[in-house]
Amino acid sequence: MVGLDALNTGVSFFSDRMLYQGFISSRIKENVHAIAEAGFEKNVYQKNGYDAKASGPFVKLGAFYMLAKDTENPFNGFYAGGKVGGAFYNQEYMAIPVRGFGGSTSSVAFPSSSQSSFWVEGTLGGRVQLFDSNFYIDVNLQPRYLAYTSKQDNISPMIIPGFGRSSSKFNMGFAWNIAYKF
Amino acid sequence: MKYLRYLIVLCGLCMIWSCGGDDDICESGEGTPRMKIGFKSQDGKIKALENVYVAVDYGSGKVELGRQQNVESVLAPLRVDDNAYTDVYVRLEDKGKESQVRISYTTKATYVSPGCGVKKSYENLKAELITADPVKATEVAQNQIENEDKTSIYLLF
Repeated sequence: MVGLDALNTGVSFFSDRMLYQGFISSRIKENVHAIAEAGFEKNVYQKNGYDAKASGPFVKLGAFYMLAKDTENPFNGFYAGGKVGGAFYNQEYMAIPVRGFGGSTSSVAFPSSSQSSFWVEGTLGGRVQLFDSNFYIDVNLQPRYLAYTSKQDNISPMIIPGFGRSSSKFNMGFAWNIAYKF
Repeated sequence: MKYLRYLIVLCGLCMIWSCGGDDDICESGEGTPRMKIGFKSQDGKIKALENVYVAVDYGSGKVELGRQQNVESVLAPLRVDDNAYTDVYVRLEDKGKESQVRISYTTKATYVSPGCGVKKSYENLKAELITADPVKATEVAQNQIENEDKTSIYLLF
């Protein structure tokens, strides 16, 4: 099955976050499916005195288990699973704040650099066939935990392509895919 | 369908999970250190001041830091922009005479945390008394500010 995240692609046209992602999944056992995801994200972080941007590709590999499925169609149902993800991206911090007294702030800029980050993520979702076609809608939530990230001058990254906001190690992603089953 | 119940609960938990984090608060002590100003009498002894008013110019006029009573030292935040000095104003009475002390320094930027961003530490500290009385003289005790524990400069009254 091949799918494309329609929701985030659509949102990309209206926001600073551009996220394009898709997946390929294949049933390897009765209830177990292997899944590979790939995508590209370009994002900015302008908040609390920060001005940063990051862009780059990411990949995720994993598997999920069909917890409950339709008796007539084994591809319809709810699933849960896990993936590991990695991103290789370029970031630039145009401003990192220096917090002074009474809101007086200044900032320090850092040059652009290449970084990489790795994380584990869960996947919880469901699939439903669109009428009698080969098309499916696949909706899933992706709770993530940042396992490792390279750092420029010790700076914790604020955004990571494929992971999202990363000032804390936990994050939550979602996808609303249109998929086609071959 | 018994899994479904768990799934929904898990989804809910994950949503709560994802709320935290982004707006980290900079805890005190992690950010740019303030300058500790001590007071001495002219014979070099530490002196407690009954009343002291400190104001600092952060580039857009004087900002009053308020009155302190019976203190041997005060903490004053310095400028964090690229200016090479900060002007500190000290007086002993609310409407009394005021001394201007110019603290000049070089700064070093170090990244601390997502909440605090970058902190500045001050080096090569110098104090110049621009307007004397009530402050009679200045004395640099530490020529750098790494934290708020040590007195950096003394004002002599």
